[in-house]
Amino acid sequence: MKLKIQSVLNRYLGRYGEPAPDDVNSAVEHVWQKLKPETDQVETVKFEGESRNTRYFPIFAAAATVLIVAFSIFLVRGLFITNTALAMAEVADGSLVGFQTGQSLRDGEVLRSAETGAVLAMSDGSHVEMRAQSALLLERAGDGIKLRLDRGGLLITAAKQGSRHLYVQTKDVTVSVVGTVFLVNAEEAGSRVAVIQGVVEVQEGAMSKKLLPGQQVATGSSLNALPLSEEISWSRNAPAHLAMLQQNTGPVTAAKESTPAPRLRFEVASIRPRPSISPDGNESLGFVCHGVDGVQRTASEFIGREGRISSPLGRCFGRGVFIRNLIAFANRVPPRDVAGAPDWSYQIEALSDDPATVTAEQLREMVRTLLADRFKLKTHREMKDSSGFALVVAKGGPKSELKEVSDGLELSPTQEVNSAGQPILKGRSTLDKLAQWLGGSLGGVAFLSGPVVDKTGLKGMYEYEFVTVRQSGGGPRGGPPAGQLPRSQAERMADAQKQIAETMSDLMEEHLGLRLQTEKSIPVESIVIDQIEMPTEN
Amino acid sequence: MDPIKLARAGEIEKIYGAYAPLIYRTAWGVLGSREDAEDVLQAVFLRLLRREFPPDLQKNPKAYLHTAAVNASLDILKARRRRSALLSEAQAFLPGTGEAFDEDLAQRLYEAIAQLRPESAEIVLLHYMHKKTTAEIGQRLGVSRTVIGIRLFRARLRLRKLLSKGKNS
Repeated sequence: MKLKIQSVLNRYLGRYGEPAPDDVNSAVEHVWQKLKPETDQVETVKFEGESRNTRYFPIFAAAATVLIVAFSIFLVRGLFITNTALAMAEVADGSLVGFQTGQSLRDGEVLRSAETGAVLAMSDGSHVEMRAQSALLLERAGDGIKLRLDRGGLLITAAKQGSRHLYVQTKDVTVSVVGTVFLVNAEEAGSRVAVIQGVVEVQEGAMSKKLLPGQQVATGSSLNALPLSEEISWSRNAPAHLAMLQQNTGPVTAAKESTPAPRLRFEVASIRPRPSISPDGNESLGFVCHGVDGVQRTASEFIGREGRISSPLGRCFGRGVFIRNLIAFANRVPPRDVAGAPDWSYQIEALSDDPATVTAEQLREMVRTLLADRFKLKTHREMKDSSGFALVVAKGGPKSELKEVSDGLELSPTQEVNSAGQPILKGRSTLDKLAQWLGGSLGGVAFLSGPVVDKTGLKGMYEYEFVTVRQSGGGPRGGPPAGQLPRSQAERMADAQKQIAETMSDLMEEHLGLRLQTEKSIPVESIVIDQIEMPTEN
Repeated sequence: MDPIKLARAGEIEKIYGAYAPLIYRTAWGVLGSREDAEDVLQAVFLRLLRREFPPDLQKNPKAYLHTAAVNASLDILKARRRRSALLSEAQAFLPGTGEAFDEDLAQRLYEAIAQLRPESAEIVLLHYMHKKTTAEIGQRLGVSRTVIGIRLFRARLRLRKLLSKGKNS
C-alpha cells in the first residue's frame, strides 16, 4: 500500500503541538544558566583545527558583521536572557543582611531582612515588603518566580503577569497569584495567608482554596487568624493597604477557613496492563508526573540518567509501573513500606485539565484519586519494625564540608547535576532530615534499600554538598567474584543495593565525616492495603 | 586576546539569543517533553562550544540548527526505543486519546528528515510541525510561495522514498 506521506507528516510532526511561549522562555533561560559557565571558558579552550578557523576568519568576521546588523533585535534579546536569567530582583529599600540597596538579587539567593525590614523590586514588576527578621529563598519557578518563605512575613503587591505566576511557598502552603495584594506569614505553628486586593489561590496539601479580599486562611490547629488590620500593621504602607482593603471589602473581616476543596482528578487517564521487568532485568521503568513547578518520580525504579522516562507538562506517565510503586508514590512512602500489594504493573498515561497551571503535588493528589476511583483502593497505616541504616559520625569527626549554619532556613536534600555534569547531593537541613531523605522516607527517590535513622547526636542545621559518584579509582565494591555471573535478578539487585549503600557511606565519610552502619530494627509507618481491584475500563 | 576566540564567545551568545527558542520548539515537537527538549537545546550548544563552527552554520544558521535539533532529538528517541524494544508491546498510544501510534514509523520519519538537505528539512518542519503556510515560509526565506510549494513537494517525494526504503529493508 502506498504510503500517505502528507498524512504521516501531519500526524507525526504535529502530535505535540507547540509548547506554551512562557514554557519556551523559561526553558531557554534555564538552559542558558547551565551553558553560561561553558561560554565563559570558551576563550581558553584550545580548539582543534585552529588553522582552519583562521582560514575562515575573514569570512567569519564579515559574517559576524552582517549577523550583528541582522541580529540586532536578537542581540538585545540575547543580552536580556543573560541578565534576566541571573538578576531576578533588586533591593529597593531597607536592609537585607549582606546586601546593599540597589544590589541585584539572583536565583538561589537567601534573603534575610534586618530590624527595619526591606522592600524588594522583582524583575516582573512586583514589590515584596519583608517584615523585620524574615527569611526567604529566591527561586525561579517553571512559569515565574517563587519565594520560599522560611520565617516572618511578606506583603506582596504582585504585578499582573499574563500567564506567568508569582509563587510564595511556606512549609505547609503554596500561594500562586497573577496580580494582587496579599500577606503571607510563616510561623513555627503554621502559616497565614490574607488577601487585600484581587484573588489568590492557596494550596495546602491536597486542599486548594481561592481567597478573596478580606479573607484569610490559617494552617495548624494552634494558629489563629488575626484581624487583617492587625496583620497589616507592620507594613510601611499600612494606612494605604488598610484603605485598599476597606475599599474592596467594606468592614474588615477575619475568618478561619476550613472548607475542604473537592478532590483533584485527571481529566483523562488510560490504564493498560504492561509487563514491568525486561528479560535482562536492565529495563528502566517508572512513573513520572510533570507539573509547572517540576517533576516528581516514583522511587527506586530507574537506573541512571539514561534510563529516566519523561512526561509532557501537566501529565503523568508510567511504563510498566508496579501498583506497589504507584501507591507508594501517591502516599509519599518508599515502595518497601507498602504491604499487601499484588504483583500488577501497568502503562499509565494521565492528563490534567489545566497543564499550564497544575503543580507536581496536585498531580500526585490526582494519582491518589485515580487509585481510589479506578482500583477501588482502600488502605490504612500501621507501624512496623524494619532493618535499615543508622547515620553516625565517622571516626575523626565531622568534616569541613558539613557546615553548621546559624539561621533556620531549610532546603530539603536534593539530587542535582553540577557544572561538570556530575551528580551531587546538596541540602541545608538537620541531619535527621538528611537521614530520612536517604532512606526515601520523604517521598523522593530512595537512595538506600532500607530506612535511615539519625544517630549522629548532631542537632543543628547543616549545609552540605558533595559529588555522589567516585571521582577516580576505587572501582565498585561488592558484587560477584571475578568471572562469576550473578545468579539471579534478586541477587543482582541485592548486590547493587549493597554497593550503593557502601559507596554512599564512603562518600559521606570522605566529604562530611559521617557514615552509614546497618541497623536491625527501625520503627516505620507502612501503608497496608485493605482492598484493591483490577482497574475499571478506560 | 585571540580575535577568533573572542568573536566566537560573543557569537555563541548571539546565536543562542536568536535561535534557542526555535531549537527548543523543534525538540519539543519531536519529543513532547520539556526535560528532553532542554537536553536537546543544551546538547546542540555544547557541541557548538566544543568544536569549531561548521561551515553550514555560517552559511544558513537557521536551517543548520533546525536539523541539528532534529538530530539531537533523534538521539533521545533512539534511547527511548532501545528501552521500549525490550518490552513485549510494539506500540504505544497517543496520551489520552487511545489512538494507535507507531513509534517505529515516527522514528524512521525523523531519521528521513535528518537525511534531507538542511534547507528542505527546515521547510518541512516549519510547515508540518510549526504550522506555517507556504506564504509565511516564503516570506521568511525570501522566495515565493510557489517555490516553497515545489520544495515541499520534492521533500515529500524524497521522504516517501526514504521511508519506503527503510520499511523494505
